[in-house]
Amino acid sequence: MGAMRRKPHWYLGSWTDRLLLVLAIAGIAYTWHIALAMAGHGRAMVEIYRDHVLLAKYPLHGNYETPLHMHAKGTLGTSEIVLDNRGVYFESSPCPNHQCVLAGHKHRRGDMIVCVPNHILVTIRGDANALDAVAE
Amino acid sequence: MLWQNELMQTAVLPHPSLETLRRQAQWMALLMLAVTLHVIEASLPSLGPWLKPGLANVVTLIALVMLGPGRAFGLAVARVFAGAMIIGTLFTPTFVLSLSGALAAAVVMFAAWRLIPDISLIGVSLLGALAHMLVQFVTVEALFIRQSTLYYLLPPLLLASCATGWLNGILATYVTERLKGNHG
Repeated sequence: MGAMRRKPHWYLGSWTDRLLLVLAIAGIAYTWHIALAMAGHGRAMVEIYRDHVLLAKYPLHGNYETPLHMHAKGTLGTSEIVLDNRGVYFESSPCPNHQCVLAGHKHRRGDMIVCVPNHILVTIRGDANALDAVAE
Repeated sequence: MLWQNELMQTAVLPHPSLETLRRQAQWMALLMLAVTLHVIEASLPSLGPWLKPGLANVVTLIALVMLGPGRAFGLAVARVFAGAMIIGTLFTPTFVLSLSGALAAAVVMFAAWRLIPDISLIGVSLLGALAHMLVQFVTVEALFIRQSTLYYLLPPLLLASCATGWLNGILATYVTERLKGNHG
C-alpha cells in the first residue's frame, strides 16, 4: 500500500498534500473572518457563562481601579474571575490542571478563556452583534 | 490414556508464525513508544490552551505504514487508555477529549490513506491534526460547555494544527524511511 506510492518531497510532501494545505488554510481564513464578525461590534463586554447560562456581563473598559471579583459556581466548585484595567483573568479555579488560570489576562474582542472541567466560559464580545452592525 | 490425548491436543495447537510474532512485537514496541510520548507531552509545559504538538500521533502514522490501518487504530486507542492510566486522568474530561480526538484523527487518517490518491504521510498527518482539533471542540460543546461561542476560538487553533500536523508528517516520513532502510 505505502510502497506503491510515489516518494514525496521530504518536507513539502506531494502535490496532493500541498493542495490539501492550501484548501485547509483557505477554509480556516474564511471561518476566522466569520468568527471575527460574529464577535460583534460596539462596546466590548465580558460575558461569563456556565454552560449556556449567562451568569454575568460587564463592560471590559470600565473604571476598575479596584479590581472587580466575580464568583462563578461551576460543576466542580467556584471559579474566581477578576476584571481589572488590564483585562479579565481567572484568579482561581477548582479544576485539576488550572489551564484557565494559566491562560492569564484577556483583553481583545473575540478572546476567550474556557474551563472545561468546571463548565465555565469567559468571553469578550461586542454588545452589538454582527447583524446589528450590518443594519446600521 | 487421557494424558496422552491431552498431550496430543497440546502438540497440535497452532503456533503463530514468525511473521505474526514479529508484527505483534512491533505493535507492542510502537505502543510503548506512543505511551511514552503521550506521558512526556502531558508533563511538558503547555504551548497554550488546547495546543499540544501531538507527537504520539507520529507513532500512529508509523504503525499505519508498517502494520496497516487495523493495528494502527488499535494502537491509537490503546495509547490513550494506557497514557491516561499512567497520568491519572482515566475517565476525566481530559481523557474524553483525548479519546474523541484520537479516534477522529485515526478514522480520518486511515480513510485519507486509503481513498486519496498520491497523498503522503504529511497530508495524512495534516488531516488527522485538523480532525483531532475539530472533534475535540465538538465534544467540549456537546458534553461540557454547551455554548456555541466556543467555536470563535477554533480558527487560530486549526491554523496551529496545520503546522503541527505538517511537522509530525515530516517526522513520520523520516522515521518510516529510516525503518525501511532506504533513507537518503
